[in-house]
Amino acid sequence: MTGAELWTTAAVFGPLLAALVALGGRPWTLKAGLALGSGTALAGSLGLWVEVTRQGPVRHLLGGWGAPLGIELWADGFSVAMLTVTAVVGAAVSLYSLSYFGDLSELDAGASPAGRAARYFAPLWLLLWAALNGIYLSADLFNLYVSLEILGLAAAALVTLAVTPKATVAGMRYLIVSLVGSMLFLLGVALLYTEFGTLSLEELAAAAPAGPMAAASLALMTVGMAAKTALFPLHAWLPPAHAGAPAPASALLSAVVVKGSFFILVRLWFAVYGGASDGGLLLMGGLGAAAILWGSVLALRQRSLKRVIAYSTVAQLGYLFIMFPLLAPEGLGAGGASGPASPEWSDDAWTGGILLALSHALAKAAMFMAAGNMTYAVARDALRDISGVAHRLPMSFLAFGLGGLSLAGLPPSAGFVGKWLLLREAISAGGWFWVAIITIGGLLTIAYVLMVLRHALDLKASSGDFRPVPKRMEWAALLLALAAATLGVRATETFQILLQGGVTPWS
Amino acid sequence: MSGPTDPQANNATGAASETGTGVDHAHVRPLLEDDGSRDGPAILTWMVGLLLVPAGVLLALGLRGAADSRDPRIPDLIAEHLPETGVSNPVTGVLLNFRGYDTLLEVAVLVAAMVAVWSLDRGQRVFGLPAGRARDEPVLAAVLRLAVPTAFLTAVYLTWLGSSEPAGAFQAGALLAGAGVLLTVARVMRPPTAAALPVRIIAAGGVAGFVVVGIAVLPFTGAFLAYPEGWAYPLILGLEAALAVAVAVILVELFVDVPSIPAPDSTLDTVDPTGDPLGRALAPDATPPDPGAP
Amino acid sequence: MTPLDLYAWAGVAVFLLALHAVVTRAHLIWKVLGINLMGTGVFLILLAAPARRDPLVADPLPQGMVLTGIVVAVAATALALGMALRVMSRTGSPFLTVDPESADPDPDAPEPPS
Repeated sequence: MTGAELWTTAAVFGPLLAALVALGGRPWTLKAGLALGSGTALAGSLGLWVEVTRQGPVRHLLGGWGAPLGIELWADGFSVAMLTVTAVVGAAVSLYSLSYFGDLSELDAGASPAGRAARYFAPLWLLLWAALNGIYLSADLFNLYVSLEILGLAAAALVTLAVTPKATVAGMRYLIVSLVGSMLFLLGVALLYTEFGTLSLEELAAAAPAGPMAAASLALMTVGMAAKTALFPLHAWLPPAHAGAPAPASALLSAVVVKGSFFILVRLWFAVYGGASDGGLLLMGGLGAAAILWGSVLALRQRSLKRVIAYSTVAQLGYLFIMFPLLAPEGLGAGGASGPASPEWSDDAWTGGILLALSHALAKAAMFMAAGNMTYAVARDALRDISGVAHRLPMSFLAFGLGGLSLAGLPPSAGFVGKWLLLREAISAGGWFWVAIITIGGLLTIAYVLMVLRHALDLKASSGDFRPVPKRMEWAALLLALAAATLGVRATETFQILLQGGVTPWS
Repeated sequence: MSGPTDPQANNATGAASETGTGVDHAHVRPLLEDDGSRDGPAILTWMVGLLLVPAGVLLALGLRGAADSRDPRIPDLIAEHLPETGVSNPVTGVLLNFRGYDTLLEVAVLVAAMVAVWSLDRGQRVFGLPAGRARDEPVLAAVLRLAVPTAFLTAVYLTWLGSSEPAGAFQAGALLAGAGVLLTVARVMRPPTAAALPVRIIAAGGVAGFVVVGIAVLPFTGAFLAYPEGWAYPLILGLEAALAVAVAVILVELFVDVPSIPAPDSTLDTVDPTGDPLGRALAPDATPPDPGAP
Repeated sequence: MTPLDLYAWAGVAVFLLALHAVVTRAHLIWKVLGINLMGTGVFLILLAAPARRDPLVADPLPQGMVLTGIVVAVAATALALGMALRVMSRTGSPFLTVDPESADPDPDAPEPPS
């Protein structure tokens, strides 16, 4: 047994065991479960970070079999980066949830909506966490499908922990989208197995899938995963679901859950299909650009705090897809498109794009938690109801501002480094369209962040009723926001890990 | 909780609801009827159909032409390594040895669905009679006396048979669950509630058994779920037994614990639609004096 | 054309018909059953399509996948039905009534364009 086996086991099966502990339904089992899950996920991701930095991508042959007979867990830099940011966000949100759901000792009386939410948040989230980590480490198509289903069921249930009719409808819609997405993915898996006779991502990559069946399955899986990632124009489910969920669930869904299907998309398009086709990459980038504009403009038009942040997620996810065409040799859409015959993937676009995904996770979790604090304090969600809340909750206000700073891409945030790298790649490839989109998106981000901050600072309209917010909830939001705002300073370490394996780890 | 309590709330965990006479389902019927008037315009229906037809033709043609030229192919590999798995049925070998991790996650999906269903607020339970007040019907009793023991016996047999023939834990679990559902519907058995600790322990036992075995063998074989030589068969049989019981309990839970539909007006207005997502309204008396207020 | 081709094509047909129902039907029960049927379509394809290359050697791997898939589908369907019932009890309607991007009466709806 080497480190790889130990740490991958901790990352996947630690949270899974923790979910069973949390299922005990007593206050102490909830706390123990969250502690165990956070601990094993953090330990697993950090252990893998060290292993992968030292010796490159590592694998764990589950059952001792290895592909194609068995299932392999496989960690490269991309996996490790996603695992780590999930662990950090997850630990912070777990801590936050202990206070948000109220006095846990009232659980057993808990047939009230709040009691039920307190009781089931932890097991659902820990199951989801295990599934996410499983996705980041999986090297097998069918295994990805099963993990996706755990992810989808638990995520929809997290939304419906909120009892408002709107949240219930949003959760139902999310579940339907999620299940249809999984089915499209599964059909793609069936086609690939029929055509290539293997489920192993690595073997598929070696077979260099091409031809009508490969294209059809990529199209099916892409539509399915894009729906789960809420890529424009399949994003309509996201704002009501993320805005309607209880704050810790919103933070998790927006920050890390949508990244699971994004991860699968990147793995499929680049690691397995070697970039697929130039036209496809341009299409994904174009949808990303549309998402940035559409999501940002709609965020500006919202009148409720959490809906602003939810539409911001639609927009920020667009940036992750702008990475697709920019990764290709010389950048696509710049006239200099060369075929993917001997791809030289752009390191700038890769590290920049993934860094944006990481910083969005930290920043968005912080913003949703900060917004959760504000709505917790006033028990209202409309922007006009949080007027003056900055004076009551300065830490949450600061957390929201710092998160917004990172989203908008101001230095020294990780968002700044990521956007700068993408911009550099776009400029050097002459892709002025992408430069314009990235810049306009940044300006719109500043606009909607300022819109929220203006309301929060508005003393004149300050409302009277105010529920004190537990300090732990304020600290959790602020710490994540600080991490997002300063990650840019330590970007080098992240680059090093992301280049372990790189864009196409199996070529 | 200081918020308004759900009028149905006191029914959710306790036995209070189970003394009731059941739920009046008259208001439910209109909800299940569908005259299609809410569907999109007919033109949309046709357009989606017209989009899907060429997709179907392409898929059908593609499937016809598909050819796998891999060598050695997976069926050959499975046949070659089957003796090492400890079982002689190749599908069981795939499910519990080659791809045991998938089966572990599959049970985790069941657990996730069960927890998710528990987390939905329940109205009155559909099967709300207390134990001991079984329906007094001689035919029903006779059928139960015959069917339930047979189901139990067959389930044990299927679990054991799985290692060599097409059978196994899930088939056995489904059969056991059928017996459980029968007992519940006949109101002989009180449906297990989400609050019952034994239910939670048994339901979690499938995943827990898998993970514990997986980790326990890790120091010896160097890989999660890699059974040490000679241990494969007993470990698989033990896991199958735990799985069968867990699957049965989870399926019964999924069946009996879905929320029934209370009459619409009884829950609609219990939650302030603009307030806290958990329905914890900021009642004036719950607001402590704020020293920082101007 | 062999019987296995027919099974695979039937799988494609079931999948697409069910997808059509999920997309065009408004009633939640239609949607949930549609999703369930989509799974059935994939299972048919999964059993028939890889087997038609060599009908004499049964491939246990797709069989295992289908068994796993069935259990996953049971779990997903149960939750979806439970959630659909809850939507009915919360909104009094078996349809997804709140359109995500349209205005609704709550104050947090998007402001009408000015």
